[in-house]
Amino acid sequence: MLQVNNLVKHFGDIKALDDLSFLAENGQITGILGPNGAGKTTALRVLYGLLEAEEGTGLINGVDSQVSPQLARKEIGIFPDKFGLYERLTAREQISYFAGLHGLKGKEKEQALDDVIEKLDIADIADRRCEGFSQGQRMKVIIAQALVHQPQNLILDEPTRGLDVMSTRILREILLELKQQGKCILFSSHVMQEVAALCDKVIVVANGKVAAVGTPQELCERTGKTEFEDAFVALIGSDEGIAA
Amino acid sequence: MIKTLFTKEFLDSIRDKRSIFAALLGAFLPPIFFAAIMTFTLEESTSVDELYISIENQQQAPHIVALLEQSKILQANMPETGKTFELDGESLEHSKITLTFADDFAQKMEQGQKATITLLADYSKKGSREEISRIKRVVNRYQSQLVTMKLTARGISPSILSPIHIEENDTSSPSSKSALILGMLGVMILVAAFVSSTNVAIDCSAGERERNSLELLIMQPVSTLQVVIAKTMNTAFFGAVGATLSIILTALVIPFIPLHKAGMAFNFDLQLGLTIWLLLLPLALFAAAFQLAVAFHAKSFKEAQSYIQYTIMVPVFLPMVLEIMNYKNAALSYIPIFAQQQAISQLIRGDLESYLPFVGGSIITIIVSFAIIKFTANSLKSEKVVLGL
Repeated sequence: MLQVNNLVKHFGDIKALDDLSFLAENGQITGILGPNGAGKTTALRVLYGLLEAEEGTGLINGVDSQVSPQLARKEIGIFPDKFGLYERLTAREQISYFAGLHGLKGKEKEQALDDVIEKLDIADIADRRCEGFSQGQRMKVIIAQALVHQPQNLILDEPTRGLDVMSTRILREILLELKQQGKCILFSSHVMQEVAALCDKVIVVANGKVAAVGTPQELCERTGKTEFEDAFVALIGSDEGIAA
Repeated sequence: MIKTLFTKEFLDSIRDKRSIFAALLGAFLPPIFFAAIMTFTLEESTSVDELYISIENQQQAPHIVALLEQSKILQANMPETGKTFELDGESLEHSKITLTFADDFAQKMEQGQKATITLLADYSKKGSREEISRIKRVVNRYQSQLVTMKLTARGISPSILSPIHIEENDTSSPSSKSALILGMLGVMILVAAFVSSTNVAIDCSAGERERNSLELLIMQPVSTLQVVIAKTMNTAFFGAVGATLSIILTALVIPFIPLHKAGMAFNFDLQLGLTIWLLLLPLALFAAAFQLAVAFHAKSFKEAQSYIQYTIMVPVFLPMVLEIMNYKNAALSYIPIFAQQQAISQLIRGDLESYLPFVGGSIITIIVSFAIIKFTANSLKSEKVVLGL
């Protein structure tokens, strides 16, 4: 379970987060939808304990990530906003490294590695160095390293950026499967169709505030629009920075 | 946890051709550079050049002329104008010294009477004293041989002429010029500890951030202190390997440097090598911590490179200046970098009095390194450093 309460955060004079609160529950895919610059990544960074909020708390399974970030981070797998692989390591070494950072050792680690490699179907590239991987292959490696320690929560920051249709579909299947297992999935996007198709709950964020919360269906009904896109525009009051 | 972090850092660096190349360059270049300078300087200061003088009445004493030639003192006619004259198309300098054998030189020698040689020279000319004494030495050697032979022929021991035997023992330390160059050797090895680890330091800090993997690493359940310790260990490892190679290479090139020409015997033995190596280990740690701190605070790989270029002047040039001034102060033995410079300098010159200050200096170097590591770890908690804002 992931929760942020009343986050306030400034970058200089700019108010990035303005009393932002939301909740992502287990067994659900929760989407954060917002235009570019709405504060999605900032909110997630606060939740990881990477950034410090001026006010408010970020809770991961009830652990305050601002107070004890290391304990809180054990319970999450992260697919970050910007991701870089270690180009000189093989995919397996890369995943093994993150497994090690989460405290997996010896046989347990090898088993976890084998499982996740099989699950993501990357055995063919597992022993190749990451340099020269395609976007789709990189995405899979990043997902694998986020899942190798089997976290209860998975946070994905704009995961479908730059992915082709096939990779997006694979990602979608993985997310749905994790949902079935009762995991909590939080994922930010500015692509509406993706959010509409996948999410059980949508949190619409604009200008560092929550503009609306509900299922895609509910949001449409609330704004009296038939298309989710129109509903979204109505909710944030502008169509700036959105991709259809 | 640190093992996991270190293993990855090491794997990442050892596969980075640029880092390996830079480390090797840092290790190999200084000793070779040093050997080249040293050889050049020694050849310059000790080689005997041909001395051209005018010799009048050569036929009076062909033996002496031959002896002079053996000592590279050659006959050349005095140029009419200027100092130079042409020989085989080469322009050579004439010493403007004239050696004249008296007209009755051969005759008087034969009769066992005093024969005269006239030496005409401008004694105030720079270097002329040295040239004149070179000529005199040859003539005197001929003279003493002649006397010895004559006395022996008359059944008298030649030792009657020199009842006192002077035994010369040189207790002076090597000439200041050579000592300075030897001291530079120490500085070169110090530099290797820094230069070998520079690329690794930048690659795993500013480079890792530029490749967007630092942020993800910091988001894992590890403390920034663990991350920085692992990175420092890896960087220090490269520095230490560089320094080790540098010491080995120095030991290998020293026999090829013509130190004997300067009257110096310098024995780079195993014990000296090991002592220097032990002194350099804390320095490699310090160099790693220092360079990582600088690189983490730079915005990009490029910026880190230029920052390190400037900050590396401190450990490179200050010891060099101290070395040239031959400045010694007990307090310096307790400051990182200077402690090592002073110790190595004194070890090489062979005038190390006590190891105690350097044990203290090494401990302080390690403590300071950990303080820098702690500082870097704390600054990694700031969003500015992690995101490179």
